[in-house]
Amino acid sequence: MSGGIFSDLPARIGVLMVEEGGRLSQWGEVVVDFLIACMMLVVNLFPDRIVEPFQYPFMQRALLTSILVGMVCGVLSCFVILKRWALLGDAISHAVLPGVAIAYLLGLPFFIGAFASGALTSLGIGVIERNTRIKEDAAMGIMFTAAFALGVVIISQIATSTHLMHILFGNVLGVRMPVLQLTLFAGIVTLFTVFLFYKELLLYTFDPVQASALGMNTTFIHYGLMLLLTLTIVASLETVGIILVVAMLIIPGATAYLLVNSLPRMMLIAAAVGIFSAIAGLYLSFVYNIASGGTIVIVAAGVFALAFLFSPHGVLVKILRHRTAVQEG
Amino acid sequence: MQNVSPTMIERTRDRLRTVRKPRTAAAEIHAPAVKAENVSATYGGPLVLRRLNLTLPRGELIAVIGPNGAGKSTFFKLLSGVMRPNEGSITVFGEPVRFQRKRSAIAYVPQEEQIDWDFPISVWDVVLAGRFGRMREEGVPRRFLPPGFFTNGHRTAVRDALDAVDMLDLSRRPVGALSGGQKKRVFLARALAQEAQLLLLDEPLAGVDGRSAELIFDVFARARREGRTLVLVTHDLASAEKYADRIALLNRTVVAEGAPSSVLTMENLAQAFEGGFIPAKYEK
Repeated sequence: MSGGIFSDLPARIGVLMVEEGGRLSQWGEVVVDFLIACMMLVVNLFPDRIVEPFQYPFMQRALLTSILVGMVCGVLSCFVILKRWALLGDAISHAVLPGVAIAYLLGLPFFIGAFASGALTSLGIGVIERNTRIKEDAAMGIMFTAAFALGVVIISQIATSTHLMHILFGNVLGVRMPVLQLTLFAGIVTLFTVFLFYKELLLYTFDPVQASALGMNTTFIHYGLMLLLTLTIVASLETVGIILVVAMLIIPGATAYLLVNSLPRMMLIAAAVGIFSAIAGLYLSFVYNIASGGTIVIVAAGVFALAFLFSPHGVLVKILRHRTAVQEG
Repeated sequence: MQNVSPTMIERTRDRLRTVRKPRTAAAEIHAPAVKAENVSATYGGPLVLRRLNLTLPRGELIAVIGPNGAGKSTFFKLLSGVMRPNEGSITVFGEPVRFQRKRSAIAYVPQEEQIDWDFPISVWDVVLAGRFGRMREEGVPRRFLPPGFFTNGHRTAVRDALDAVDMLDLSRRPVGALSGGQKKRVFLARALAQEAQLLLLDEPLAGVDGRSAELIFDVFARARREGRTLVLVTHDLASAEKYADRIALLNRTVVAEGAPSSVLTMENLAQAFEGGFIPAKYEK
């Protein structure tokens, strides 16, 4: 009976997904263990006082997650800065909340729900902007506050305020294996996509009209970049939380923007700033027993402040130049 | 896999190309550079272009002139694929715009205001971006590589293009550090490196010093001798009259089109500019 085949199709797909998911997560575990081992080889080179916190497995997982998040956020933050998407990053990160809540209700991995609601909101912003006279900033304001409010309401019904706090501000010390695997997966997908479509992304951010004249599908690139942003935000949720992730999507790129004049170098430096802030922030938060997400962002902001003062495009150079110009003139 | 030599790969690639091309070859030789038939376009409000009919022959320097809001930039947007016409059809060298875009046949030289000059990119990398279309034509594994992985042919094309606009010495500079005229020359070099047949130039002479203007007109002349078609939007009626083979006077539709002397009559200009401001430098 053909009806029979179709009626148990969902069940079959379900079984298949569980089996494949199991196999994938086995592989994921192996990869994660390998990465942690490599990481610890490097960590153990440092003096004992610094190494000490990282003897705990939960700290090792937290460190790997933070490094991944710092790196991926760093790379994407360059596009956020150059496309002036800071507000969009903020919007998507808030819009992720109802997805997390709904996924929790349905028993799905929260990753999927967050991705769906983030993507839907960013598409919704585009729809409002293109079809009405409302401009982009207001469209974002409407969509992301509405989504965020919906998320807060749902969560207040189903979970404790600790849960809400973890989602909003991160809980990197409590990162477990499945979340770490998803972060790793999202990171690899994002970095690989940026590598494969570097030409398209560069020309689209620099001169979208020429990108279109060369036959590139700019709509596709636009939404593709938004989806990558969503994926990264979701992957960073557990580390720095919804509210602070936007900092990691702006500060590393902004810092690198002050230092160099080529996009590949900007991405490298932004990734380095992201990784450094993640490691230093995690360490300081452990030592002084303070909130890890907040500490990571404060370290990043400190690095930016240094660049702001001392970089070739920074304030000190400008003042010095001004002074010599006045003296000579 | 070992005995597949590079020449074999190249030969296969050439064969693939020739399979694709012949259908269009005959049409391409005789078709005009741009043919717009009954084109209407809108941003959602009133029509910006109303039943525009315009045929631009190949190998000429054509100036598009008209008041602000006459649809000049919209016309360029249609040709570069940023916008689609709501009605009517546009062909470039006898084929739909989207085919010619994929073939790197259309290049766009932007107005100065459209570019973010703080963008971290060097002169060389801007011109190299003109090759991205050609790089993408190289087939599936290679087209996904970042530009640094492409060598020889592409680099030579970039060097030649920079040399043609006399910017080779400054190729490592960030674009933001250039003068107005130098910026224009870099973007012109990008169009040359692209080996485009149709060049769309948006205000190529705005804010350009004398030496750069001279160089730019030299490049225009050479490009035209090579059979390329140059379409430029400009407010500079005096230069347009002096250098253009053909002028199209636009105000939502074509007011007049043809040789400069026949188009630039007071009557036509008054009609196009609707009795309003007629650009300075042009008072007979």
